[in-house]
Amino acid sequence: MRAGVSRRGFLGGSAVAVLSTAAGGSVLASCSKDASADAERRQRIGFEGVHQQGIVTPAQQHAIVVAFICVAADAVALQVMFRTLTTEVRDLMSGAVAPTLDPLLAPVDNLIVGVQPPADNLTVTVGVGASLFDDRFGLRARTPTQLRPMPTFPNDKPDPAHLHGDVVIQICAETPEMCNHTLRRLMRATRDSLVLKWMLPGFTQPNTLGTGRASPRNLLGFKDGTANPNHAEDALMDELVWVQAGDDEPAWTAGGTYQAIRLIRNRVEFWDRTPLRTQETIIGRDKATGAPLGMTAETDVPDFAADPDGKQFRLDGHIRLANPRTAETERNCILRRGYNYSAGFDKAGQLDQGLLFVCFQRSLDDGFIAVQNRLNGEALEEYITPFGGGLFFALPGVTTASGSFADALFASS
Amino acid sequence: MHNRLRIAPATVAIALVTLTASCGSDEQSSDISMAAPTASSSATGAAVTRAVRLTDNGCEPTSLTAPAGDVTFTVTNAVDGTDLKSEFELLTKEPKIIAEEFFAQGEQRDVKVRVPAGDYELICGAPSNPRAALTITGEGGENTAAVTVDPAALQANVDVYTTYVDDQMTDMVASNAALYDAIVRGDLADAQALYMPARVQWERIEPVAELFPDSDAVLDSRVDDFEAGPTDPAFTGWHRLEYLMFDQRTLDGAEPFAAELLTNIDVLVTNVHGISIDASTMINGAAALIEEAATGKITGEEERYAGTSLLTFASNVEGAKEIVDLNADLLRGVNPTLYAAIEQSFAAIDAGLAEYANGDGTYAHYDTLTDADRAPLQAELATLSEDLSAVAAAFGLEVS
Repeated sequence: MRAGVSRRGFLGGSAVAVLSTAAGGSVLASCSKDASADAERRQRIGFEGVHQQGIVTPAQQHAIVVAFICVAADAVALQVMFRTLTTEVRDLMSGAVAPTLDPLLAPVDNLIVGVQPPADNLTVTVGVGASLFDDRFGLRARTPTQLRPMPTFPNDKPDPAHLHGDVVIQICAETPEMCNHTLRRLMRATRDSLVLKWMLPGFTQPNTLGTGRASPRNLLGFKDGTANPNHAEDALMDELVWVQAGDDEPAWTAGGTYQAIRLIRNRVEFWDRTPLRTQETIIGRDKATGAPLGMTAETDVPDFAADPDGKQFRLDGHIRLANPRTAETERNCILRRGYNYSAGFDKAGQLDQGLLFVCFQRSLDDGFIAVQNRLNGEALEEYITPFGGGLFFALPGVTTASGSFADALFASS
Repeated sequence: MHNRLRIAPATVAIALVTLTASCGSDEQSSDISMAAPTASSSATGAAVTRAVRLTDNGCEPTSLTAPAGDVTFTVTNAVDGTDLKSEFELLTKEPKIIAEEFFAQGEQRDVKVRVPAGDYELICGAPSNPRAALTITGEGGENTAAVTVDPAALQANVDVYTTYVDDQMTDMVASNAALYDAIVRGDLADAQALYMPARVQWERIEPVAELFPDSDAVLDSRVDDFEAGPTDPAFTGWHRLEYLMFDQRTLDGAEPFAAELLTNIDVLVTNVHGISIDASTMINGAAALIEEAATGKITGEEERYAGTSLLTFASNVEGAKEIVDLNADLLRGVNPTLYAAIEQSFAAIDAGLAEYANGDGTYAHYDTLTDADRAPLQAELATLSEDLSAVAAAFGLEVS
């Protein structure tokens, strides 16, 4: 029994009319302040391709990252699930209008984004965790070479309720409505196989990857992602992000990429009362401009070698450890595609905000693992608590109109 | 649980009026009937219209009659004590809402309904206003036009289900009397052992019992419903006893709650005997039970002190299965695929539950289940919920 449930009218006609009017009003309001440039930027992103979308795609403003336990009974059921998921993702990304049913039935579509889904740069990116390659589906021999459960790093406070997962889905679009619409459609279609393990919604500023735009700021107030490789350079992406045929990997993985996800809480109250100079030396950048300390432009390249004693850049500063800018650490370059999150507050009355860190790389060991191992012990650790996420492999793209996410995974090789 | 047939407290209705008023757009005249609108002539063949005014003191007139079939109410809002929208509501004695519309000051609009013979009530203006009586006489007005199954067979199933509900009520009275006796004897172990046997009948017929929200509140409220927590004086019913017996491990202070429980169960029994269950309530009851299991039981919160959520879960499933089994032939006739899917889900859930059965009718303590243990049950419940939500439509029944 639960108190406060209303009569029929509340859930039925009258209340719906109120809500839809309110929503309509706010949409109009935002349209009226010239969103034409923004609207032009919103497209339908093609689903099929050698690689999945949502990886080198310029970052949309909103995301939901959601991990599932897969309870499919066997390999066949798993393939059915992936087939269903593929169909649904294809429909959603193409903006297909859902069929109308007998009004006595529950509608197919939730109508959160209306009858004609708007172009909203929607991408859905599907990854698999190491646990999917246990004995349930006969996939053990196909495990990507470097895929394993995310290890616990020294500063981590792992929360089992926010860790790992058999399947991870990253939904990105320009509005939270489109993300939630997509999440609910996908979950409804796969309800017999996928059970929620954890999820986190995130937000960021538009078009943060390359294309000459300034980097967005994280919730510590610093520019983040400045040194990201340019997603628009195909050769660079082949070098750093996409698993290539001939890599020391099962053949099916070519065109996919390792996805590392870290849920990193920021102790924002503590951070906000930390002196500016301390903040800047901990990060290694000027807070206002984003320039490396002592330099002028955000994109200036710091010369750590010229500062061996850490006079300009403290030795345990963030950007120095994350990217030492040496020839041998070039191969550790990862494609970051993170989002900020804000999820209420804790029992101590402190905000639960931070970074929904997502990065993609061709090699986990050369990429995220190497970078994180360098960051262990960084000065910033006092202000951040990684508590969840996982290591996943984002599947290769679906290349044909009748193809499925499972095609590569189950391909005879 | 959310049962949309329940009557909300007056405060909620008032809040609704306020909300609607803020909307600012007037809904158009609308057809409301219990099933898909079809022919609009009444049993007598003539258009039946009745004028009703909403006033500060209720309806004008305060008593109306009309022949069974399609009736059009021409409603005028003459309320001037508030500039919020005012309500016009037609409900059965059960009570079940047939129509509910809101009117701006001075607004006049038609409300069309299709009603069979019987006694009804009208609410005009504020929900607390005295109600007007509406008497419908004669033949017709039933909403059988859209029903896709044999109405006689469906009604026969309703009759069997009504007997099932009555039997559960009888058992509920007996099992709770036994619980009361153990509490009065001061035998904690015995009372603990008799707690779940006193719970299962309610859980099997919850959607019917919850037609009476007052009973639901005093019998089956959880501690979450009370701001002051487990010692809130308003926290009564089974879960108050559960808290005392399994968390506090005492029977001190339990007797008054147990006595009140018996009194409230008697009220429930009287109320349930006073209504006739309709086909829609029965069919949707199956879906409602599984929704209940999927939201309240799978979390373990229902029997959080006793750890026996799996048994209440199983009772919800049992009650839903009863309804599906009863209507198996009809469902197989109109949608064999749906029937097969539902049967498969029930089998999977039964198999899932069996893994935790102790063999004596009890189940493993809920705390022993891990997230991984719960995941397959969650998936099966979600699948079954989705399928059961389509049964009413397969029968051509409206979900009220």
